[in-house]
Amino acid sequence: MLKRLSKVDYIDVNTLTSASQLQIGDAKEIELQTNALAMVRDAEIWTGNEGNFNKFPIFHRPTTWPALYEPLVVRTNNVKGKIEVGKVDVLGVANSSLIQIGSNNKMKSETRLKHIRHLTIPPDKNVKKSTNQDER
Amino acid sequence: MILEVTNHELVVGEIQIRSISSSSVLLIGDTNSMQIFSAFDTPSDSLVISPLVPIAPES
Repeated sequence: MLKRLSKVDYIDVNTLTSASQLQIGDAKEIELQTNALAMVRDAEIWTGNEGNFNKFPIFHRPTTWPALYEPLVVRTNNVKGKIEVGKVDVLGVANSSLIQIGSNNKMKSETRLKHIRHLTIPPDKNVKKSTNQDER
Repeated sequence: MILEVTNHELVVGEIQIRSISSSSVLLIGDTNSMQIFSAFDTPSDSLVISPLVPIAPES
């Protein structure tokens, strides 16, 4: 398959985080993966050994991928072999995301994200009483 | 099945994006295949109200 040329005059990307990629140029295969546990706790106390991914089912449930090859014959006719973009302005790229200027053959990306909000209760207080307090 | 594609001129002035997140792709070019998967979990039971104990500690 004849690939087209990509031309971008100006690109501005502010932030790239968590297994993200800015690819300028062609590639054959790109694979990105993120597992993230986003903990929000009202007390700024962290023991350092928290967040075992195996204990949350979201991180080991099977992935249902869309089919890679389908019984389809694609005939591409490139009249003008160029894609032109004047300016690209992106503020943030996160969690196995990709910006690519150029062509690719195969790309695969996977993100698993679990959010937890932890409201702490002083150990001496009754659990039921504390959950009813509006300040929390 | 046969899919016939004719690419004519493609010129874009400006692209402005706030954020690309969770296995998203901005591609200025061509690709043969793309497999994208994202699992996001914020169920109601992810709000934990408990004394200060480590969540899912490493053994």
